[in-house]
Amino acid sequence: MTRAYVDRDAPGGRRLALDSVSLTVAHGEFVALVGRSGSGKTTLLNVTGCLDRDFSGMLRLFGRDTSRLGDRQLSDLRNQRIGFVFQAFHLLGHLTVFQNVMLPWHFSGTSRADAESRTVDALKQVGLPDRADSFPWQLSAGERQRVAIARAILNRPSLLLCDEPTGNLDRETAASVTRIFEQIVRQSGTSVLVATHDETLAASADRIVRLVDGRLA
Amino acid sequence: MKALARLSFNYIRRSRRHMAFAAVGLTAGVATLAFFLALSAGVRQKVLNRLYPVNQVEFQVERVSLFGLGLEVPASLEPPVISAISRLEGVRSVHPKQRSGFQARLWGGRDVFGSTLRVEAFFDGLDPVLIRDELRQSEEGALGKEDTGVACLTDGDCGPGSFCGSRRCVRRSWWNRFDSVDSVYRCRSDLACIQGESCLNGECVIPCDFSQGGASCPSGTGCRAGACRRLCSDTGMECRDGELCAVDGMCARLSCSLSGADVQMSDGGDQMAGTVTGLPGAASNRPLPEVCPGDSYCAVPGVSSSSGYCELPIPVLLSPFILDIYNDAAAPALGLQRLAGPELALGLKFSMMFGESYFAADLPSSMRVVRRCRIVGFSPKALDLGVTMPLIDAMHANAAMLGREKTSSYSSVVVEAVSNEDVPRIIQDMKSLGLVLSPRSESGRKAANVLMVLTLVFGGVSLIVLLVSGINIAHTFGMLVSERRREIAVYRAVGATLLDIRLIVAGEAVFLGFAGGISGIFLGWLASRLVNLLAAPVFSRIPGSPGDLFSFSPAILCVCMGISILFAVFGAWGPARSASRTDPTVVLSQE
Repeated sequence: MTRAYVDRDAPGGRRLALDSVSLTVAHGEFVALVGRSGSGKTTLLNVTGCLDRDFSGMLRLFGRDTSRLGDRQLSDLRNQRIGFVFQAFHLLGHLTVFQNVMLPWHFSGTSRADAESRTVDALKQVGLPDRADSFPWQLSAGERQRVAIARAILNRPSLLLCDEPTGNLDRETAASVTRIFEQIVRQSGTSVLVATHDETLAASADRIVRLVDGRLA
Repeated sequence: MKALARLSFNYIRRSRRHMAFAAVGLTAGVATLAFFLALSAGVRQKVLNRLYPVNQVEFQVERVSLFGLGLEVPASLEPPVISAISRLEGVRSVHPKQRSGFQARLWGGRDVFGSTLRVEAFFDGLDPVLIRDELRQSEEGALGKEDTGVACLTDGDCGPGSFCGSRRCVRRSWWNRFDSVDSVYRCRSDLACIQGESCLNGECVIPCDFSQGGASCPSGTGCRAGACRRLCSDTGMECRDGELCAVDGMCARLSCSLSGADVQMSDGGDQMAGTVTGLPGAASNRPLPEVCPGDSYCAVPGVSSSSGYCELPIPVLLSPFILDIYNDAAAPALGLQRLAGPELALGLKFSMMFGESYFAADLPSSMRVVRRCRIVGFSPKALDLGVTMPLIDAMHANAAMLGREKTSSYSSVVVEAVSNEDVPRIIQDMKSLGLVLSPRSESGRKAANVLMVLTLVFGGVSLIVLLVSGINIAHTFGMLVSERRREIAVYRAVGATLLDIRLIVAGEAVFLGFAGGISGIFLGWLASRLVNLLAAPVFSRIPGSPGDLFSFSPAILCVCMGISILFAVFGAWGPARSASRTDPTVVLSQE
């Protein structure tokens, strides 16, 4: 990737966030992205997850050049092969835990029964099978993040993109979330790219990639 | 799609208050639209079209006022004019009408009213073709379908008023009896018969030359003794009550006699069936009945005669207006039974004396004649104060009482146009022939025009209300979309396409439009009930007025629902586009 930008709508115009970044994540690899705030970690995740298309260069996902894909195909990629986990969880407050985890199904075109079965599996995987009928506001921060992880892995993605997943958690909870990521990589062969300041989480990764002012160090 | 609809519905449920607010304008607009469309359709169907459908217009000779006198301009409705009208562009068919031109009075109805009614009689003649469909529809509306759908083997398996036909119970119908019965009147010369008929042995008949084997007779008839007679088969089904199929394959009338000439002055009953005396001029293999069979009675040629022919009563139509006058004025004043519905009077027989009057001098007794009539239907096209019979029967009566020359011109003519758009041109063309709209058609057209203008005005008002509600929806949805940016960004992150986001918001608008449409239609319907309720005391004093002025047809409901959904989607389309442009990277990076 040669260039990627952020703050497109800012009064001063867009700002260069990534410059000459070349990164390959292998199948089943757990990669930690570290760097200061503003170093371009989130931009790299957004670009990799096809949410941000304002870049030059090439992004290949699962062997396909994403520059040739339209909105429908990119959305399908996000739905079927990529999972997102955010620092702020971004659960929908009016939906139950079960409904939140099932959210990707609404855009997948698959059967509801299959999605329900996957939801049960995903909740078991993150250790929350008993909280299916709870609402997000009834959960602790750690539980909310685990629900967000369950939503991200519902469709058994090939790539999990996590932006500061332990940023809002205490150390003990962060450790349990870290174990979940390790488990996902080990059991499902899912590649995980996680942007973090959390050294414990970064230490558990197979590889640490450092970003400094938008460049790989 | 179903999954997206689920998301839309979920959000609607969550934002009930906002949505209810957005739907208020929609409801008001749809209610106004539904109310006025239903009122317009109701008045058109139940008032105007009952008088005359839009493509049927009645014309009469123009009258001009000169020094206070109503004078006819030199024009007439004689056969050549009728023929010229039928050749006008845009004219599908022409149906002349003829009024009675002599005094008459009628009596009867003791079985239904509890007492014999005696009134002055006026009548006119109408082409049965013009009214048959309407009679059938109104009869089915009152009595149900002719095919009752009940299986049967014999007539006994079916209830009264029904018979077993093709193993299904069939209700006896009245509408198809509105057809000429060719009543026989005494004649001394051809001048007492209508055009095309001749007086043969004192009876008006269509003449024919036997040597040509009936070639000069209309189709379905043959020639016997110089007169055209209906052809028949062994079953005799082609012959009417009062006729038999003779050995020559043609129907022949049974002759009969009454026990006395004064029997004619009774209020019907068995005495009018007379005694069958023979089959003049023909022979039949079948035994002769003792009395006039079926519905026929013994019709004699004068008030002092006691022998004549078996024939069917003349079928007549009444205006619902008469029934209202009877129920509202006559029945309470005379202490008679009220009639709950027109169907109760169907089949009622009465007698009509041609040549006698309660108001004017009677014709000489040698010219007076009594005929039985039978009510076979009700129609707003019937004479308001009188009875309407098939045109040929009215012409026969006029010819017998007044002479042929009085039947050569018609009192009015109903013109059926090919399409509604042809009507204005036909009116212009008719004016050049000295013919103008009859008062009833004129009023109908004026009312239709006023109604159209009112519908357009109120339809326009409804659309303005809907437009404002669309703007209100745009505002509300804009606000809601702005509040939902995080939710929309999450949708994008988990795989929603731009189109999915638009469809979710548009789906919410469809739900809103549907709810607004349903509640608007319901509100419009409630308002219509209220108007009916308020108008009931006024309408009850107007004979012939409908009980319900509104018609909420499926088409109107579909139009209202469609417009409601259309305006809701129209209002939400901008916010939907704006929602799809939400940048998830910006929203999701915020805590």
